[in-house]
Amino acid sequence: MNQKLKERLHWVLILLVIISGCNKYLDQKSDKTLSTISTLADAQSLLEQYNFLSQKDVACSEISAGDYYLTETDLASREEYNRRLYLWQDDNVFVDKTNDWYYTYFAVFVANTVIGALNKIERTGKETDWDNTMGQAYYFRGRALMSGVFAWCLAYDLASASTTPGLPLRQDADFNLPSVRSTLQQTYAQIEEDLHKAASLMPVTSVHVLRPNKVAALGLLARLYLSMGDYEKTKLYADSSLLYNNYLMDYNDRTIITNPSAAYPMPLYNKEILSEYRFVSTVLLNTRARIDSTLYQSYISDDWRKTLFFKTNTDGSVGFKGSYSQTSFLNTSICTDELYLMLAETKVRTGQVENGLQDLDTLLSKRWKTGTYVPTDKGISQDSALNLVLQERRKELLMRGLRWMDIKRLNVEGRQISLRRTYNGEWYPLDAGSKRFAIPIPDDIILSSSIEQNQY
Amino acid sequence: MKYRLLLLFCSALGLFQDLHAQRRSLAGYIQSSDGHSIAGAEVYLNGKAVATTSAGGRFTLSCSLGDTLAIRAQGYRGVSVRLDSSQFSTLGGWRQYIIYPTDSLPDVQVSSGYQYIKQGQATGSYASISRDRLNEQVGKNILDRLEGLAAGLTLDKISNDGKPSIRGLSTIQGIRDVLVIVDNFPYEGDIGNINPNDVESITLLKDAAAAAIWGMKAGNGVIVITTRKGKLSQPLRSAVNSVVTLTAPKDLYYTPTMLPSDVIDVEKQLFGLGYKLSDTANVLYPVLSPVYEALLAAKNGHITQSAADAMIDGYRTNDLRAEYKRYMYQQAVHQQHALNISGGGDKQAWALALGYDGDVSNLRAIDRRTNIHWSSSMRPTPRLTLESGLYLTLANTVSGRPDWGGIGIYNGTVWPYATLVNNDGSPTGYDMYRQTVMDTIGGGLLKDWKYYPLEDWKHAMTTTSLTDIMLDVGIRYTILPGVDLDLKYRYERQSGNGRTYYDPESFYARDLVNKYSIVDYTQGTVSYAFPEGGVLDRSASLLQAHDWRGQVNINRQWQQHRINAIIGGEIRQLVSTAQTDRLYGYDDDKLLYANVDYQADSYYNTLQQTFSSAYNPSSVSEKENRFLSLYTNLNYTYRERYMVSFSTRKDATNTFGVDVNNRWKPLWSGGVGWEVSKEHFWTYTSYLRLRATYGYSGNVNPNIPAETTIWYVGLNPYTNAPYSIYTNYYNPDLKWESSRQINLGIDFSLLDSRLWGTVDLFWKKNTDLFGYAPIDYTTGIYSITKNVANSHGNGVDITINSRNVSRGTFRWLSTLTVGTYRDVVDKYNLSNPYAYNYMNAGSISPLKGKPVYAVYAYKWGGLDPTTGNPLGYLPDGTISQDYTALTRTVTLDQIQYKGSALPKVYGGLVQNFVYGNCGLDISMTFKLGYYFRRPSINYGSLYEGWNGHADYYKRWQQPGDETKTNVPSMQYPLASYRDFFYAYSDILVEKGDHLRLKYLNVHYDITLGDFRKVQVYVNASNLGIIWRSNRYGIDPDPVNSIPASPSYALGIRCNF
Repeated sequence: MNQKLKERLHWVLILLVIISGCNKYLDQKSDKTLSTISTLADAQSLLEQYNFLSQKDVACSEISAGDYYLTETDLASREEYNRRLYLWQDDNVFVDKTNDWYYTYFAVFVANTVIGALNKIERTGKETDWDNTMGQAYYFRGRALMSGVFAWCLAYDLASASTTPGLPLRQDADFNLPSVRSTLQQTYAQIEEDLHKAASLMPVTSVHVLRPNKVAALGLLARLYLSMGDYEKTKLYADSSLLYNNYLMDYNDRTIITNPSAAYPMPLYNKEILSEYRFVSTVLLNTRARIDSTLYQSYISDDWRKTLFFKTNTDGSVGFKGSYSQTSFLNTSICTDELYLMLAETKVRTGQVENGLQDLDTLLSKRWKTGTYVPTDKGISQDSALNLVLQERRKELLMRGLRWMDIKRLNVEGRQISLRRTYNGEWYPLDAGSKRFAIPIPDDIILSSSIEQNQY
Repeated sequence: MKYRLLLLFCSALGLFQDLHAQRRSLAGYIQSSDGHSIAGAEVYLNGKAVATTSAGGRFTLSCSLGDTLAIRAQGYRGVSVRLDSSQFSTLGGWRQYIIYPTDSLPDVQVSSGYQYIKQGQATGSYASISRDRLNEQVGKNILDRLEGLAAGLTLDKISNDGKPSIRGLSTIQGIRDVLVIVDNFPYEGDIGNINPNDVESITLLKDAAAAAIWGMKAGNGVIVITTRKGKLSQPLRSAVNSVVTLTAPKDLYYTPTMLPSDVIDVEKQLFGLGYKLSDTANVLYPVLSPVYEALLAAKNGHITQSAADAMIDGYRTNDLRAEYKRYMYQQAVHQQHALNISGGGDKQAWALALGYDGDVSNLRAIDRRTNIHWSSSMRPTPRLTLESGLYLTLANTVSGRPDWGGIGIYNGTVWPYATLVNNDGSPTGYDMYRQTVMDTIGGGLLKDWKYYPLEDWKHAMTTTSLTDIMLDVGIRYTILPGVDLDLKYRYERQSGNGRTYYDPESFYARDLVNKYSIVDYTQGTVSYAFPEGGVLDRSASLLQAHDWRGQVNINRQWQQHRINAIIGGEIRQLVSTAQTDRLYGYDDDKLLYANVDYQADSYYNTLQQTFSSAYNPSSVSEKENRFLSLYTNLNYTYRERYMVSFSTRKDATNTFGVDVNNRWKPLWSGGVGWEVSKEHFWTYTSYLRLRATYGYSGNVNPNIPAETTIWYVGLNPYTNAPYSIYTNYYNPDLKWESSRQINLGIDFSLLDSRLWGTVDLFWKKNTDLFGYAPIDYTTGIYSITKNVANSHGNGVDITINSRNVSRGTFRWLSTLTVGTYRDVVDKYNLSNPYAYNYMNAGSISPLKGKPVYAVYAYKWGGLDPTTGNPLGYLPDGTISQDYTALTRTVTLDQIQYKGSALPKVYGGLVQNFVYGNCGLDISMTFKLGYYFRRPSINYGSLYEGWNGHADYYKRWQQPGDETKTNVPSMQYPLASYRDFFYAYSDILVEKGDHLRLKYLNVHYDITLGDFRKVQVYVNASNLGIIWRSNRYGIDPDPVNSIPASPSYALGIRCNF
């Protein structure tokens, strides 16, 4: 009996060995280039998708904003959804799927994947790299949501932020979880938290501006607080960012800007850029998008920007060629010039008028032809100083994806900026108080999820 | 039929002494109607078996007057005789009984890839196509010959690229390919490598019982190709086949299009409206058409308007189609030569097949293939058989001219009034960037920067070569009587090399050098940053497959029982590697190449004034798939008429993700069969057999694992860190697709075996099908593949063979095959029900209760009488011109269901006529019960790509036209949803039903001896449609592509 049992046991053992051998045989990876996300390097590799994470910034905001216009014939030849977007229609303003919303949330998804994966990967022994990758993930998520909230939500107003719709805040890579719109308050809080985490985790410098760093995160926090009207914090973060990098290109320097008459004269990946972001839109190609003539006329001829930023079309109108991306891509990076302007604006707003104007001088003296710049009169009123800074902000940061947010935040303080466009003899107004400053969410999203459309 | 027993009285034996009670002895012998003595026949007296005939067919018994004598013999009709006095004669001797064969099916042996099965003893549904039938067609690829020859098989040109499909769909998003077995193992190379003259037969495994033995790969059905083999004790035989086929060029005038002159008028109109004029300032310098350039020059005052008009009028007579016909296309010539030799002695049999195919296509592309196949089997002792085989394929191709649509000047296309040759006969050159820029850039210092469509292909040739070696070894040893141990191994190695050389004259190479040149306009010099010379792309791939199989075959028979079983296991390993690389500045004579900088933004583009980097297409891949399988197939037959079968298989793979518990997936099938006509009570002469099977098979797509996986693509050129992309998303619920199938079959033979065939009814139930599921892309993913659907389907396969006439030397045979299939979606988990997602041809239609592939359409409301705008109906029934509402917010169930997009009934009719030495084979195929969308004018593609359908001429132009036409008016600016609404409206939906003449084969046979025969044949194929339901002359199979041109072949086949 016992003997029999032993024999049986032998067989069971042999069978187990065979089965485990088989399973071992099957453990061979079927494709060497395929991998699950199990190491720090795997997680980082997803963040290297620069052409998605850094080059598909939201385009609809700039298309909706007013630094440029399209001729009626050009508008007629645009796709229907772009035409509708341009004319501030209430629906069908995006192409399906491959639109700003998708790229925004693709970045969120990548970040969520990385955050989820890193939480399962041991940090000990590789703290620096682990923190860096985690910091980048928070950065990309915060950065994407920030562009998103500027586009699809109304301006931040402390009084109403907890009742105004914000964005869906996805925190998990699991696509089975439903998307729900948060309040504007929650959205801003999330972006703030992400960028703070990013700033604390990432190192000061990175191998390339396409990989974010601490300085860029601090700069973005300044941008975020500015859009919230929190000027003290804006000042604080713009200042801390500038502590690490306060470089400004001297537009007179021909070793930097080698050929002012080039199709795109501004140098690529120049040192003003803290972290590279860009987008491209067929609407905004400088062959179509004509710069508002009043804006163009506001540059004096000693201002290098008048030459470097603009090209003249055969019909006398001007197009924008000053992109820091040196192509038809428009640059939306956080750059030192934007930090100087934020610093100047918030100093003026918080009563440090002279100090603020000095920051403006620092910037403009690098923009004007050598010896022509006359420093601003430090004795002007706070209001005049603010108007001056805001005007210079618009001139320096045009086609940087910021104007839409600026119009919205300035309207919160009652500046009454309204926009108007015309097509086929009809006027299309966008009044300062309009809820249409929150761009409609793509209709296919509304149809395929429980997300609520903006109300107009 | 009224066949009855015939008794011939040659002699009778019977001594009768007492007429009433006396026992008598009866001696007889049994002979078949064709004169053979029948041994082993059972003789019954009053229903009781009393004797069995001897080797000479003789029997004796003792009987009484009035007894009933019955004779039963396998394969013959029963005989029953009452023994009255007339049955006995006073003369002595053996009394002869002649018996007649019952109706029967041809005795076909089919191969499942694991064993040979007599079709008459199988429960599963098999279809077999013989060599003779396959030989009625010519051509390189054996699979192309199958359509219309086997019920249930069709070439799916609508949703699967013309690949074979058996009994409709078992999957939606999963792998749709039928499993192809060559001899015993799956063939990993391109099936087009197989020499058609080397094929002995093709078997289709259709139902679960037939296919289940192949496990998870068999979900879409299995095609088993058996090659020609030698036979033991067979004298040397050889066969030669030589055939030349000519194929006419494509008919470019098949699709009705606008005349170039009218396209020019549209362009003039658009120019007036300012369309695309802002492109003139685009720094990417997109090309403008010559008409636009002329108009622009006039507008800018460079030339006068009348000069521009004169130039434009000069273009009006050009027609690119005519130029293409004249300069690009030629008659295609395909030649095929094959030699087959086989022989066998007592202990050895062998076969050698040599094949050569040479093809010069309509576009002068060259394709050559050589096959050498050696197979032998040895039986050194009666218990041991050794088998070996070597199959070698060598193929190489050289690219030819660009196909129609292959010239891309602007956005991958070109204006229809383009020319290939100038008036002076020189090749036309095209600027690939705007002409005005090209005229000034480089100050005349750069290399020629034009693209010459007529010549460029000569400077950018792609050559490929392929070597496939297949080595088979097998040992079969009989351990006990009826029990064999069978070991098999196959090694297949397919290596391919590709090479594309853009020589320094090619546009591609010149463009690179010019683009990255540095021009010093003040000094008048130019230097090249990018290496001058050609560009060489190389690719190499290697696929190695190992198959090991160990199997025990049991064939035992005792008394009334027969068991036929196999039990075995398989290991399969597939390793594939591939790499590509590129050399710049390549000199093909000296084999020199230059170094380039692959760093980001390393070269300055003089034309666009931006930086970019040298394109680096290098890649390396390495994949290894492993499979372990255990299987068994049991067949039990009782009394030669009751059959039971069972088969099961477990597969495991190393593919990613799918849950480890799911790794060993059991699949099984079972079946019963009953040969009714063997029963005693079966008084009819016809043959009848009934079959029923049920089985469960799976389908796993190794590309859809359950975990989030990433794919390392290369390096981020900026950070130099590894860059990866998602290939799959974590989905814990992912399961294998499974398919259950019930099959009921009838095999019959009637009318003296002049009419025989099979009818199979089947029901399929597919669950957990992988499907395309658009999801809320706030998740970061806009579509995922997951288990979304359940569907069921059913159909009938009918094969009827008949000998219609057989009189003298005239014979007329026909084979009709009909397959029907109808499927219905039972469930589809879908978050996006909006119709516009599912309107494209080849897109599935996820609506419950409707076919998986269906045609839906927006209801047409006519044309607006004042504007010529199309009108549609909103879901509430109101007529509307709001195209956004009509197309964007309407769900699939709110629009019209027109019918299935795939044929519900399909098949073929082959007829063979033989008169004396002459023969004629005619094959027709038909597809019925489906719908397609007729192409019409799309203003978007007319404006953007000069692509204007001739319906343009029927467009609404003035009030009143709406009563005559349904073609919307031309409109600017473009309203894309308006075009969309029209393109998918129901007035453009047509019935796809058609009947096609597939081939005609005329042959003349000279018989020289027993098997010596010479046959000369002429074959014509792709002869076009005989009847179609649509009245627009459209070939719906598939629509939107130019139908294959007719081919004519002349060949000779010798056997000696």
